[in-house]
Amino acid sequence: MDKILRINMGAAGGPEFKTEGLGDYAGLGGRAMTSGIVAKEVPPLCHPLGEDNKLVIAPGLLSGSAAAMSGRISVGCKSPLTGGIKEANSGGQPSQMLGRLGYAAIVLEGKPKEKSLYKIFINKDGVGIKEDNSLCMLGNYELVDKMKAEYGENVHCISIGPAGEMKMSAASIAFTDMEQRPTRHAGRGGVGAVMGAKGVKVIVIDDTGCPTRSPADPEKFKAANKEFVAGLRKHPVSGEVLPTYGTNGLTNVINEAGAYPTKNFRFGQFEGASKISGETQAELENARGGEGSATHGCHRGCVIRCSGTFYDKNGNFLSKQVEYETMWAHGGNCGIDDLDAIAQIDRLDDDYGIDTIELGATIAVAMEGGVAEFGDVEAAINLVKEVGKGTPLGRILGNGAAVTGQVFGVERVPVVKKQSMPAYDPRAVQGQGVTYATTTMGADHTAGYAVATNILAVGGNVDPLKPEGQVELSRNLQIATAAIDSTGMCLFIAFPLLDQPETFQALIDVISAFSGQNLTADDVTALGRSVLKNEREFNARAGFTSKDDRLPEYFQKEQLPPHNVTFSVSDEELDEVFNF
Amino acid sequence: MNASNGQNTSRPQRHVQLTVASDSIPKFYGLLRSGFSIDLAVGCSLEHMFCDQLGITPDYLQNRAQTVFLNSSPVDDLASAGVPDKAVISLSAAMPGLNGAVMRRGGPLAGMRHSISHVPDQVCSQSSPGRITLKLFNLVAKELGPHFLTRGVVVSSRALGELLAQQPGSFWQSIKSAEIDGSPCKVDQLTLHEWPEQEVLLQVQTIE
Repeated sequence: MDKILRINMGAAGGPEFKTEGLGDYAGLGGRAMTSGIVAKEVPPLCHPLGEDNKLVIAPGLLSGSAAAMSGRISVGCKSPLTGGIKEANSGGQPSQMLGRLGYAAIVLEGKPKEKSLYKIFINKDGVGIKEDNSLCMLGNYELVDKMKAEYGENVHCISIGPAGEMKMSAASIAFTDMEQRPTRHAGRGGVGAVMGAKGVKVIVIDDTGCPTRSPADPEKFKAANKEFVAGLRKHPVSGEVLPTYGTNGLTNVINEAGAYPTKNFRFGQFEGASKISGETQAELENARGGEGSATHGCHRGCVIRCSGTFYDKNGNFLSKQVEYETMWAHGGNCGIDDLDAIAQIDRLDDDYGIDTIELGATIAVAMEGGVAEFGDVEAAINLVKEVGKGTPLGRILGNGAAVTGQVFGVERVPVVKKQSMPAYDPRAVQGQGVTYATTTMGADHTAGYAVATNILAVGGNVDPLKPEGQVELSRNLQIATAAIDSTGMCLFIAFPLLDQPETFQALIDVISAFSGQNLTADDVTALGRSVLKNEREFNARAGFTSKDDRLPEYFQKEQLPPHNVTFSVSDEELDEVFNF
Repeated sequence: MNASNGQNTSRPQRHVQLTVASDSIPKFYGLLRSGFSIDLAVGCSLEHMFCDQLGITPDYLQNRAQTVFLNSSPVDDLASAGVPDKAVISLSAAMPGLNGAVMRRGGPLAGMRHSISHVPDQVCSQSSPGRITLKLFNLVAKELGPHFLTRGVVVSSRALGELLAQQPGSFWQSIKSAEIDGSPCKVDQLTLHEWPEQEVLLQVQTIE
């Protein structure tokens, strides 16, 4: 990947593009690239929907190669939801295709003067940009079908639905999966609204004729990749639990722990959890779609295959297997235990292009505000449809939990930097709470994710049974995660890396053999730190202070049943996280 | 006959014994996930309970059932966790994600959930008869389920009735034999049988 594609949507005379070399961004990929460009080129005080914001789409360093698990893509900008820097991550096919086409990043800049909608087509022969207002307010599913009919059956799409066109702060960007369905999303932070503000409805990609990217040392790469894959397959989490139950295998466990936020974070356990658990979902999927329906990869080269396919009662495709976060957000957090209903909502979210976590959390806030009853399935589905239609109520909901809480007079709004908390209560998992509070992204469960702390010896070894060290753990996890997000690798490689040193070494060897440089743990740490440093500095210049690195006050006062715990990490400790 | 290790319970029970084709065993896993009762000696450590009373090997606990809850608290040391009467105990494989890793027994991230972790407590040198509820999740239900179903699980008649009511025709065809309270019965008696709210000792054997 040796070039950046810049598209100026606001050029006089209509959108213009140019390609240029990597320059200062050489050696960067994924989150390192998106945060690097945003931190350097976007004025931190600009309006997120204005011409000065930029939307950066960047495959990972290994995307487009034969490295297993390397198909993740990063999307970066100033977030309309948080007002700070944002990196949203997605699976799907486009990352590898952009890698093979040689693009290290696509940067959308400027803003069209007229209220027009554009489609962009990229193949090995170049770039085409066309105005097409017939695409206005199409759902992602219908949009993708139209693009296939127009550009051929081999294309994949990066697109927004009606939510992005309406510039809702919870709007996502969709990436088509292996079956060309718009089921994978860069969900968090309203990146879809920025794409909508730039007037871009869809980027269509065709990498026909483009070879797989070659490693610097093919023999070493092949051997290391084989070892890496073997390690992923033999580990019980990546090789058995995830392909069998998906991420939703977490429902029973997190619920059992009393850490499952229920009915707008009022309780830590949901009585209907078993009905919407990963085990129940997998049984239903396999019964309706045939054995194997609960096992599916989101991109070619994925050997973990944590996704699946959800069919309705009549055996028709409805949606991808519902992820844990979505099942929680629209399920237990809203008091709903109906699998089919939640899958239907997931389909609607994907079609409208909206973050399932944010919308589920928002609907729960709305329920607390009296807009609907907890557990009312029909009401919940109708609220989602209001968003898609862009009604006044829908526009409120589509702009997230903080806005909705304010409109309906709700005090208990579970957000940090205005982004909703995901599916783990910070009172039960206090270390997660530290990450929610301090990450540059707003409340985010994947920002401090990678479990390679002790292996990388990042910051020393922490006694796992001591309550001290929450801050150190969160810091180290955030550093390691930022590094992994830059490679294009899926974060679910983390568990095998933790348990199997030989698999961790194989990953290092894959990266080294591909790049031709010998990578060390110090390099990984340095990369992660530099990414976080860029992000922190941007947020500081955007006006964020330590006061923004806090959980809502009620988490310190309100006890969470069944353990009756409160969040007890002090402000002074939170301020230590980025002391490096 | 009951499922305990020689302990008696005074609670009235029905006793259902089924012999089914092995590929129907997964139909019963939902009961195991929701929880089933076992009469055994309490006051001992979790380690003693699992290994000495329930026949689960230390190797299995170490390598497969890496997440354990005692009354909703993640447990890090099985030897220093005493089993109280009426305890609810759950077993799971290691789970994905940061929070899956956090819940893992003795894992490097266990400190992140210190506020809910089980605190090591007194393990009695003498145990006494009692009852626990055991829940088996995900891979553990698949791997230990047949063992416990053969041994016998105590469930509510309501839960069993709901499970049986959901089953398709192929399930009923897979039942090779059925007994209620020691007397053979026809398969369709299981669906037509009245099930007043009571405890049922369910034993399921498999046949290829």
